[in-house]
Amino acid sequence: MLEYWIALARGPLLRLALLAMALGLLRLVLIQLWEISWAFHRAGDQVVPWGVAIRRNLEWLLPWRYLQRRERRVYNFISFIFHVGVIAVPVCLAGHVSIWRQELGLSWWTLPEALADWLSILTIAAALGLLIGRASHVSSRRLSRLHDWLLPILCVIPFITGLWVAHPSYSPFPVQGVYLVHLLSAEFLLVLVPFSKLRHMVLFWVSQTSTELGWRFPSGSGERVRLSLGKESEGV
Amino acid sequence: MISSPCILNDVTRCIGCEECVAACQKINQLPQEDPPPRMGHSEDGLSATRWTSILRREGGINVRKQCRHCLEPACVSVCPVGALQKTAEGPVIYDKSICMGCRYCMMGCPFGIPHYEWNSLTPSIRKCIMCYEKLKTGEIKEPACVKACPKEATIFGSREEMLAEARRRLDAEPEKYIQHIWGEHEVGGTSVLYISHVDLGFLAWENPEELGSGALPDRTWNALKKVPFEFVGMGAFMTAAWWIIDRRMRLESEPEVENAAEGEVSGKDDERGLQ
Amino acid sequence: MTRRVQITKGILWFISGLAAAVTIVRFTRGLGATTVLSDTTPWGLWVGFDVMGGVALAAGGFVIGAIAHVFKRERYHHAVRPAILTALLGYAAVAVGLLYDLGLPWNIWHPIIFWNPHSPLFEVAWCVMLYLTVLFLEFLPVFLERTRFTKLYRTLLRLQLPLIILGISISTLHQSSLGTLLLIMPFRLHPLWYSPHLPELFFVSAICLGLSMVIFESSVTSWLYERKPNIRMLSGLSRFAAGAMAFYLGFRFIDLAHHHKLGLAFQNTFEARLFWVELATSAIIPLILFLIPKVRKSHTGVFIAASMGVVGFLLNRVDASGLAQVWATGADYFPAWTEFVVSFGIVSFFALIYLFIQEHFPVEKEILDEEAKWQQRQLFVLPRFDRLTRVWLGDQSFASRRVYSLLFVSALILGLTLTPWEPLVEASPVTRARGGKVLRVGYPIGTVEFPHAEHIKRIGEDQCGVCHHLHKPGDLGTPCTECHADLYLETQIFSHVRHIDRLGGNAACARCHTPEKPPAAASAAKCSSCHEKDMMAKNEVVTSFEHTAAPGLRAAAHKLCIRCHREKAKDPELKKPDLFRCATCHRSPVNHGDVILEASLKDQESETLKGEKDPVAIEETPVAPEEPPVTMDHTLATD
Repeated sequence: MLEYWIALARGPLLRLALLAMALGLLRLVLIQLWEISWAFHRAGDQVVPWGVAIRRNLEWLLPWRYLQRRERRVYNFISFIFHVGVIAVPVCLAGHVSIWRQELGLSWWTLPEALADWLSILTIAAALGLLIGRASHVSSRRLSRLHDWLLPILCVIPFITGLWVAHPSYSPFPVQGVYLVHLLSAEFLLVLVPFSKLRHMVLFWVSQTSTELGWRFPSGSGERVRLSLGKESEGV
Repeated sequence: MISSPCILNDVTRCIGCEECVAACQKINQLPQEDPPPRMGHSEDGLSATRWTSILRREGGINVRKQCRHCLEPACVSVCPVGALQKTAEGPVIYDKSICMGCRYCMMGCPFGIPHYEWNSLTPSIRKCIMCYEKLKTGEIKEPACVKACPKEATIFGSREEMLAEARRRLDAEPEKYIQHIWGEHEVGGTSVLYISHVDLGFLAWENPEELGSGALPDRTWNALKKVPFEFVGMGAFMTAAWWIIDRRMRLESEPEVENAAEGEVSGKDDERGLQ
Repeated sequence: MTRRVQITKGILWFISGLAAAVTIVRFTRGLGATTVLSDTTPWGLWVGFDVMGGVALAAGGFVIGAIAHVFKRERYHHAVRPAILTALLGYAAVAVGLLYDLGLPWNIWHPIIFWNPHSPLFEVAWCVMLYLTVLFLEFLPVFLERTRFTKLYRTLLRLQLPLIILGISISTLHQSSLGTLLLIMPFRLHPLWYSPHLPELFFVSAICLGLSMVIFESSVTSWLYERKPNIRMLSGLSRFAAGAMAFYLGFRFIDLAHHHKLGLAFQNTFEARLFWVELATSAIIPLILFLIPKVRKSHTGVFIAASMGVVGFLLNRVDASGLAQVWATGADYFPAWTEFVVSFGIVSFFALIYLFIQEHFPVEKEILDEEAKWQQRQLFVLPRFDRLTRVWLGDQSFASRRVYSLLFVSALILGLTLTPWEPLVEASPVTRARGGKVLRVGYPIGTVEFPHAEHIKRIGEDQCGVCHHLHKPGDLGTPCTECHADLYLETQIFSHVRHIDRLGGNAACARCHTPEKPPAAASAAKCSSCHEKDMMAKNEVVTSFEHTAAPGLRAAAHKLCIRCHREKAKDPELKKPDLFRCATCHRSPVNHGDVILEASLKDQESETLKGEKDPVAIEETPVAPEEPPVTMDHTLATD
């Protein structure tokens, strides 16, 4: 019975999850591009500081600048580790690459087994660190919503179960069940990507670009504000 | 090659060894192994990779089925682009470069002969072409299936010769055969003939009495040849109807037309323009 | 844009998304994967519904054109533009549907240069091309009305009447030629449908269907946009429809009687029942409804009658091109869900275009004006936020676009997951054994040497079905666990049934189960209470067992066998095959916790399993009598 569920989770469900993530993210990017161009079209000032926008994006994408920031150094560092683990392990683990090869026909560089294990452990620890960091800092605790707490926990489940699958002898539960949980939790996470803040994996550039582009009111918006407030008689 | 080539099948002689099937697959470079059958595949064993097959019936009766190369083929007449052609000599052949894949020929064939390569991305209609190319170049003297037959249950010659041979056999052993040559008159005559000791109605779709001896293409042509007249007639009728009605309405309410036309914008412009 | 329009558009986008997924599969994997068409049923839903039905559905264009412009009935002028738009989009949908159905769709233009005037389909193809052009010219004024191309606009309006008459002539031809298509197959089409007058019958029924469709569509748009329906126009149209239906019924019955086929309709056959259902929904019931003045005056009544007519006449087309041919072919074709999805997807997609044109061009001016007002109002509506992410959705049109695109993408994903990528083959065909020697099994998936010949020897020559029919149609292979339930799990080795048999039926319960305790394995007597010898062999690896369970194959090989074999293999005198090498069984890299055991298939081809027990043998008969010189503790599971 469990066998059947594993087969289901490895086959159709995995495909569904990957498709959901890829197409969902594609949709988000397209909408974003369209809305930016639309907003730009309506804007009064149409000069775009492309250079600044690209520089800002690079600054945030490449870690050294980010790590040099003064405030919350430890938190930033943990976050960096977390991101490295969360990207490297699922994509480059030898076991996963063999799945990609079977399903997609693509294969690439694989992480050495031992490194992958340690990276997974580090990631789990980093996720824990992120939660603690979020809880300990007053303003970030106040700003946090429910899913901000849940997402790191959800991200960690595939890592823990993945470790157990790789080392069944350390697993307190039967390997089959753990493997199923590993698959299902990872797939759930993949499906969740386009619908949660995990979408920043493709939309990270938007916030920086918007900062540079966004603060332009559309032409005639003053007029509209006046109408909405019911103060047609007053000047803009 | 000879004119009006024809194959005569003698059902009493066929032992069902399927040498003809193998020879056909070989000369047409068809795969020897059949792909897994689709749902609703032909019961007679024909497929896109088997252009001839042996139908087996109770009592050791073996009937070879293949394209009948009708004298007035329905498949040729229905093909909207003429990808299927009746050659001057007689065999019905297929040109993939013209075909658009509408599969009307498969619907139109009374014997269910044309088969389709369903699993291909560039599918073709596949059916027996009576080894036309090779016969024409003189590479072979008779179709591969005929040559392969060890019992001379299937023989090749011109249609007149074959009809004469069939009659000779029917006359020689009248008690052995049913006195009928299948293919002599059915659907206007075919270039593959059968003589048999059992009824061969099962070679066509289930409704032999509807089939008759008239050529099938006549049925559509009777309707289609009226098309130009219908076109002109309908146009003339509509124009006349419009003219009469328009004239009557104008005569009835000469002054009102002007007022009414002002009211609506779009619907009226055309009428006034034409007046 | 009303709430109704938004919801409808959402549904239409969803169906279009599903169809988009099937489209991808259709054009990358072919007709074989996406349809259940076959050599006995070469035409299916895509011809019956999309082409035959689609052309007839679009007949409203020429019928309304004739009524309003040729016969000058002013009150139907309102219906002309929507009807022509429906016809235009209908014919475009037919063309798109053909692209799916044709085996070589890129040759769709071939009828232009390769002529065969003897073919009805050739005539239909030309008429459809010409009529599409005519319809486009008829409809072009709507696009041009509020633009600066006034000169072209006026010229086209002047040409409108000739264009409409031309359109009527062309329609007459191809509507009837669709009936001519079927004239050549008297051997396929059931006599209740086959008639030499099929062309005329198709023409008349197209008029009925066209009128029903105009009424239906007008009711639907007024419901969607919450406008008052134009009852006067609708009841007038239903009068025309009633006339056409009465004529159709009379024609059909006289035709049947003339050819002495009326008796067939009263036999107890599938075709006779189909005939009556079709006739009742298409003509009889709508005709009766239309004849009642009260029904004609009520919006609901007219709507119901017209929708029945639409369904009924569509059924007529589907019957003629498919269902009424089943008696001859004997092939039970029922369209695959992918075929339905494509058919409805094309309709949905063109319905979206229809709504778009309605909302942006003066087809029905009320709708356009309403839409413009709505757009204006949206500028002052309070912003909406996404419930989940608390993100501003943008203004109304953006928000709805987000919803539509979400629905579209979800449907696309769903469709891509569900659509079969392999050609559909007949369920469970018994051919030669698949898979060969190497099977994919287990988790994380690996491959294992599978001795097929050995299995045949054990379960018998004619027992293919034992494995090959265990699984569902379209399977990849029956998993080993279907038989070896203990592959990964511990096995129940205690056979209750056999014990009851041996000990003499129900009366023997008390031999093991004491009456005061509930009969359960835990409370039953131990095996050793009857079996004299200890069931458990002395074993240094495994020290304790449940008294009814044995280790699975995997556990046995990994935990019990390997260790011993590894030691024995070192002994040069024994010359034991090195079973402990994982690659002996696993034919692909095995992820084994701390090490990955690389064993490529190539290496293994030289190291065949000659003279060695296969994995199944280990499980089933651990005692290896063919190897007498070695003494081993293979006494784990004595029976």
